[in-house]
Amino acid sequence: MLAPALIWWAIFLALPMGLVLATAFFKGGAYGAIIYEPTLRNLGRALDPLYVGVLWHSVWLAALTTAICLLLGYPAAVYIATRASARTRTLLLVLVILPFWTNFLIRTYAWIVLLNREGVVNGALEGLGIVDEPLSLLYNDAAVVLGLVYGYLPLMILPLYAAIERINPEVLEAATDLGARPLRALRTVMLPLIIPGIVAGCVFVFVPSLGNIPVPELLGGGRSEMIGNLINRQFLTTRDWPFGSMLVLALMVILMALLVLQSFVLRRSRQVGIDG
Amino acid sequence: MGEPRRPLLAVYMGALFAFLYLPIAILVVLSFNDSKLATVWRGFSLRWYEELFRDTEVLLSIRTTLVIAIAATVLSIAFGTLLAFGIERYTRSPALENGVYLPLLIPDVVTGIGLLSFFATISLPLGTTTVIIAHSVWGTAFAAAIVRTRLRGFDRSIEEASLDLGVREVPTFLRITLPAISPGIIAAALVVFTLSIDEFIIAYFTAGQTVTFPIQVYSMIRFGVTPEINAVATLMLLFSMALIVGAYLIARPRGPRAARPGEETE
Amino acid sequence: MSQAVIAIEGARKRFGETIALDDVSLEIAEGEFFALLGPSGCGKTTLLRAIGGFASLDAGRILLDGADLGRARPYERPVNMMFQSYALFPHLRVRDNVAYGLRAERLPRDEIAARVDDVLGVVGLRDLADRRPAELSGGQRQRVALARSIVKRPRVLLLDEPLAALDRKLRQEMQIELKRLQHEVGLTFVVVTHDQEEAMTMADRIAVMRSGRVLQVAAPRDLYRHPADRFVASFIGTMNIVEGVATADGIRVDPLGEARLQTAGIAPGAALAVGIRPDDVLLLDPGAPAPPDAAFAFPAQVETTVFAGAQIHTVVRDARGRAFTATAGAGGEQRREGSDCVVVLPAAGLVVLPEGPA
Repeated sequence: MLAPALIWWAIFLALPMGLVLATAFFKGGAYGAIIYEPTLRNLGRALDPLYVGVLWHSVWLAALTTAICLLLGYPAAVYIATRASARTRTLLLVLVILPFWTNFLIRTYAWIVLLNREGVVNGALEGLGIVDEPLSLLYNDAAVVLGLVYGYLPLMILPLYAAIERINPEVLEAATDLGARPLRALRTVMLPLIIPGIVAGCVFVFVPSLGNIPVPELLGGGRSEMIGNLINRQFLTTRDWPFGSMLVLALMVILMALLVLQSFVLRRSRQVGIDG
Repeated sequence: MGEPRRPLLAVYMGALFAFLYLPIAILVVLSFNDSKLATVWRGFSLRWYEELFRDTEVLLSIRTTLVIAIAATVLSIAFGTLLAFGIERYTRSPALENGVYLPLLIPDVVTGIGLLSFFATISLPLGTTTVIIAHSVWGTAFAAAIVRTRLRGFDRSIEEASLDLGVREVPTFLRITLPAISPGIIAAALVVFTLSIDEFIIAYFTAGQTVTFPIQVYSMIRFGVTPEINAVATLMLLFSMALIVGAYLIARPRGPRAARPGEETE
Repeated sequence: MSQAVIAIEGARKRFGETIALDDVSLEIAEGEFFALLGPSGCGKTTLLRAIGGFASLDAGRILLDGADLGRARPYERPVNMMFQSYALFPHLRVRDNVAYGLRAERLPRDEIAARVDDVLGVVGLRDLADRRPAELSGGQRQRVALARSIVKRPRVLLLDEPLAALDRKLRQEMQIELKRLQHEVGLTFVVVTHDQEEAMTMADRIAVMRSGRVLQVAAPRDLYRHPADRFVASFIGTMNIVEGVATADGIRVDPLGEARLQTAGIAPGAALAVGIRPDDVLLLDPGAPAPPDAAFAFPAQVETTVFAGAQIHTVVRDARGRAFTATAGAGGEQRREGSDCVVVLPAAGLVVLPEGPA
């Protein structure tokens, strides 16, 4: 029963990944050719400050997006999880998810309509006489982060909600009953209990943010570049596939590190009781 | 007894929903605006819808996307269900499980590039076929995750009862097991179908000259702000809502929570 | 009665349409084992949660040692709760669960360790101090919850259905155990329960509640012997009820006759019910002379007999179809089902039962 599915999986998933890994260590030739000679040249090029800078910038923007989603998502998840009626909870969850099911590009485009020089926000600000000149709201880091937060916030709220909803409310009451003030109860009981949800939410937001292409392309407009744009260019414009593969590899290394960190956090949260 | 009253939180929720919905709502409103400018309301009009339905490129891309989504859904469900069963019943290997869910954990750009390299290596010309394959590799992971959720809550004693009553394994599977998990399969099909319709990055790398609907939208947006996209957005919103309501009605009582397999892969 | 630790004055609370507390006033004495007893939805849990600070009152006050608790938050009250689900912190070891409240008080480490160790000894869990809640049995978890709330030496310990999650045998053991423990630690216990047997076994005094009101507050024996109304009578144990009409100095039941009773305040001619406990009902052979203290004596037929170890329960039915239950010690004879007998209701066993609030 498992065999056909596994073969399918091996051919179309394992093999391509291996291929990318291998290509990263070949030479790129003219006109997109791949010269099958092992080399470390691509690795050296990827370590160039220019590329490391873009990589670092991508990690920073993705991390910022994740942090903002966590801050925005936690109160929402708490609110939904503490509704008494199951109907209300379901309704609120559907409302949170619903935007997520409209096309990602269109949701990104909505921010262009809002923020461009002739856009809704500038129109409103000028109409109210607050500004004379339209503001440049697009094509900067903030616009990219805004787009990413808008795109992936539901992916943070859902696992947080699932984790909070699983907590027996009496456990939180017990903490206050035993003398813990709200912040202490949050730190010593709530947070340790929802760490799996926090970790899941962070992974769900960080991963697609880090590898994103359309948001930095459309809202960053080349001025706020992320690694996805670099990869995109290597494969479809410059046609230097080996170097592009090296960049993909770099992305994967970052994510591996992230997954190691994730399992470390999870294991720690399971082993150590919070002392204090 | 009673829920905690948290007026501040309630206000916050209102603001959050405004943040989530206002941008989309503005697109919907502007799709009926006779003016090309977002800041000027020149009266109600359906002209952008008319233009949209006359735009053969858009219509063709919708057709392409539907073909891809249907084919990818069928393949994903077939392989995903098999995988879910295999993992749940015949192995307890976490490595295998993580491998299967890998496409959910790696960025789409990596999946897309990997498949692009692969197709180039085996000299498979890029086009509708390659996007179908790409989407079903990725959709299989989602389908497996969702069906597995359903399987985990499945009471195996009803299978045993069937065997006990003298029905062999295969008919038991078809008559008992499959109907019991069918809500999970249908939910998975709806999710994969919706995701495939919306998917941009993987298709972008594996489509070659073929233009799927999201790729069409992408090039329209890059070309500039046009109210035609507002009309597209409105129609897609309606379509997604219909799908969600459908999924909810079918997949009850698990409801929309089953719609995000991500929860299960934490 | 010594000074009241908790005094509740005119407490009212409603949730939408439901009235949870309807003008409840109570006093709970120092060192007392007090039970709030009633069917689900009677308001007992709301009252407990109000004392703990988890529910606010719409009207009325709760005084602790004479001082109004007002809107004090749960962490500001020297009152602790043992939750129905035990509410153990799943991520903390037994030791850390018990220490949690002391750490919140920022007590010195040595003192915390000593007190935790001490209380774990009292509940007999010293060997399991390093386990996590998931690794404990139901009874052990219950002890952890108990230890965690008594280690803070609260002025009052609130227990919300403390035994509900245990199986029958363990529950009976723990009733005795809780009682012993309460004596040992010398705390005031307020327990909420819907199980009258549990309340009767453990409590010094019981408040019977229904629809947000306190119907009667009394010691278990008084509650059993002198229930204030029909609801209390049937909620506490089994009560045979005879309906009749009040006379000037008693009750008339047609066609059984009249009996003299204390019926102060009931107008002659009004409907009146009297009750009698199964252990007060006598069954005699047909033709046997009625004893002199019999208020009523009438023939009936044996319907069922149940041998319940220490006792024999006999259900009989009279000519008009009224059923009576009689309980006798196991030494008595077991009557044949379908045989005839005479039912005797001695005057001393009869209790006047007003209708009581709906």
